[in-house]
Order: sequence, then C-alpha cells, then structure tokens
Amino acid sequence: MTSAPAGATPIDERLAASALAVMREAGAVGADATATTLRQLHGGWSRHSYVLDVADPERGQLACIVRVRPAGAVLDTDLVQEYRTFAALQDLPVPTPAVFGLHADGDTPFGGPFFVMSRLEGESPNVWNARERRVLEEDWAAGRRIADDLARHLATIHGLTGEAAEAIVPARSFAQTVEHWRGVWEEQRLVRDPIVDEAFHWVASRTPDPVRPRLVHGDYRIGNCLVDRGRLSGILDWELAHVGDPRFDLGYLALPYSSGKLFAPGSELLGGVADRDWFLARYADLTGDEVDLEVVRTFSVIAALMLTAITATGIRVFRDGGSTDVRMLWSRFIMPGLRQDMADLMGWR
Amino acid sequence: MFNAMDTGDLLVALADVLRDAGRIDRPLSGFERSQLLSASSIARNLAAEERGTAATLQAANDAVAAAVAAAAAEIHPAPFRQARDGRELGEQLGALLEGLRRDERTEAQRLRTRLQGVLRRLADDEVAALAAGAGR
Repeated sequence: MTSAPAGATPIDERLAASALAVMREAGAVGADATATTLRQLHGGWSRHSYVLDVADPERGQLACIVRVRPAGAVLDTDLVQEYRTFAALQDLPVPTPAVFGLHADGDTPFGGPFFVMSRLEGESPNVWNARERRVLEEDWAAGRRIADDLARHLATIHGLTGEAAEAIVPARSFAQTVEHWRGVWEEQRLVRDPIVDEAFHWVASRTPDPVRPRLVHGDYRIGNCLVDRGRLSGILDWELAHVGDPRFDLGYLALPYSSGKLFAPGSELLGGVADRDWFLARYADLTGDEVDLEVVRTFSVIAALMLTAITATGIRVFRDGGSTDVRMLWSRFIMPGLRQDMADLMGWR
Repeated sequence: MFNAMDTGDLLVALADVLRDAGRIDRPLSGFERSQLLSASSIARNLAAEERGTAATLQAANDAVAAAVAAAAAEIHPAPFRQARDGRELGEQLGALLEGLRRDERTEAQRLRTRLQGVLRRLADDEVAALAAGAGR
C-alpha cells in the first residue's frame, strides 16, 4: 500500500489507505497506486493539509494535497461546497488545483471529511515575515508581475456573474454579509467588545450602491496564493467564497492586516504587493468598474469584522475543548491590531 | 483589552503544550513544531500585554470618567464606575454606547464621539504595548 523511501518520515498506513481509496473511487489513480509521502503541513486553521505523493504504474507520479476539515475548525464552512468550488473553477482561467476525489463523511482516519487535490508548484508568501515582505516589495519595484497577476486573476474571478456563479457558491447580499458576521460574532464571542459593536453599527449604516453580484473569493490575499518563479501559480483557500459584492475582495486586500500588520505596520503596499492607487486603477481597467474608495473602506471594516468573528470562533472552540491547536489561542493577539484598524478606518480620533 | 480568556487560562494552555511536547520521544513534525512556536509567541505577547494592561486600563478609566462627567446629566446621570479589568470595561462601555446610538440628541452624539476617541487611544496603547514586547 505504501512505500516511503528509506530515511523518510514513516507513512501512516491508515491515512494513506483512506486517501488512495478516495482517489481510486474517483478514477484519479489505478488499483496499484501507492503513497510515497504523506505528512501534515503546519499551516491551515480551518482546514488541515497533508502532502501526499502517489506513485501510480498507470498514470505516473502524482503530487497531491489532502485537505481535511477537522472537528474543531474555525470556519463552519462546508468542505463539500469547497470541493465543488474547486471542481467548477477548472473552467476558469485562474490557477487552481484539480480535484481527485472527496470523502464527505466525517468519520475518517484524518479526523474529518477530506478531499484530495493536485499540489501546485510554488510557495505562499508570508507577509508577516519581514524578509518575505521584502521579496514582494522587490517584485513591485522590479516588474510588478505578482501585482499584475493578482489584479488580473481577481478581475477574472469577478467576471463570473449571476447563475454561473450561484451554481458554485451561495449568494449573499450586503445586508446578509453584515448580518452573517454579526451573527457569528454574537454567537461565538466570550467578551463584549464596544469597538466591534460600533463597527457593526457603522457598516450597517453604509449600504453601498448595488452592483451586479459576482463570484467573490472572500479571502483574497497573497498569503492564500502560491508564487512560483515570480508569478502567481495558484489561488487557494476558497472556503469563504460567495456570490456578492466584488468590492469585498478589494476591501479585504486593502486592510492593513493583509499587508502584514500585526502589531507593527506591515508593507506600505496594498496586500504587500502593489501601490494601492495602481492596483485599484489596474483592477478598474480590467473590469471596467469604477472603484469607489468609500465603498472599499466600508468593506475593509467588514473584512476586519469577519476576521474578528472567525478569531472569536477559534478561541471558543479551543476553550470548549473542540481543538487543542494552540494557534487558535494565539489568534487572540490578532484582535488588538484589528480593533485599531477598525477605529482608524471609521475615522475615530 | 476586551480579551477572551485571561492570563490564567493562557498559562494553563501553555503548560499543556509544553507537557505534550515533553512526552514526544521522536523528531517533531512540522505541525508539532508550529505548536511550540505558537506557544512561545503567546508567552511573549502575554508578557507584553501584562506589562501594559494596568496603565492602559487606568488611562481608559480616567478618560471615560472625564467624558461622562462632562456630558450633560440627562445624557448619563450616573457616574462611570471604574472598571477592574478589560472585560468589565467592555461591558460598561458597550452598554453606554448602545444607549447613545439610540439617542439622537447632540449631547449624546458628542459623548459618543468622545468615547470613540477614548477607544481609539486604548486600541493604540494596546497595540503599542504588544509591539514593544515583540521587539524585546
């Protein structure tokens, strides 16, 4: 069943058998396929990811990722929907992984439902690491290829409208978006936060002029992309995707958090990759949509509220014993910076 | 300041991580290593938070009390009660601002704006304290 090379980390036979069974059922590999590598990656909050290499006498080598929804996930999002999203995105000219089979039942050796997808080349830049921020800033200074890729792919994603997009993910209006995250926050919070209360009131009073609903990634930042040899090679983490106002993705990108701010300021570049005015102008050119900076500001606050609600969920899950992943507890220290950003964006002086 | 899980809760969690790591008798996986690094970061941030909390809380208490005292009696007749911790401050300020959001009178909105300024300074102070700790 498995054949780890000498000296490599031993492969968990149960996990490997489960992943291979799903791939065989989906017709992605033949009966004699074996796992040569299987190890857990250290990233992933709402999903756990495993590197899986498969040797298949019929199809050759396959580099895969096993994506698991653990029992104590910070996002109550549907893995089946995420799998279907990846499957549907194959038709879109954006770099996303191919999918090789789904195990929708929660009772698996991985500790939750999972699917297998192809492993794309590249690394996810970490904008909270000063050295990696510098690499992105050098790209901006030298040729703007990553910045242009990020704008072009976002415009392509936002090009998917109406029924085509709603066939993939649920639709959510502006009011529903605000109420959704307010509901999550109220359900999960362990303390009252007057800044968050005020921020929900502030965004609810700023309903923007409606635009045609589009496919919204929902978590669009460079850290959720792969970069390979100076180009964007993958767009990952679609579990927050929905059909709605595309300016959400712009607001999220414009949030200081997305540029590497935790306690100290991050990059001055939007999302760590591009001058803000350049990016928004490039996006406007590509989509034909004028970008209203006030609407972007509103969505930046909504994005901060979303992150706050997700963080509160992780802390509650940890406190209630649903997970022992101490990173959920660490995320408590994300909140002060988000509060500061919200206060700043709302113009509090 | 308005933080879920207090210092004691965090210390217990850190103790659990250290105990679990101490029981591993093989090379750590990437995930296990990230757990230890996160625990280290929690300890550092918690220390910074602890160093800054008393001064930040006192400054916020004083500023809220001054703002409330300066507001007209019909807006908020009861004096502000000094909060003993961030949780209590959050509850009090949350309730106060909730009432002010429903009160359209100029005085009420003036007090609300002033309290928003207090919250802004509180957020800045808290982030500055954490940043100072990260740089140590």
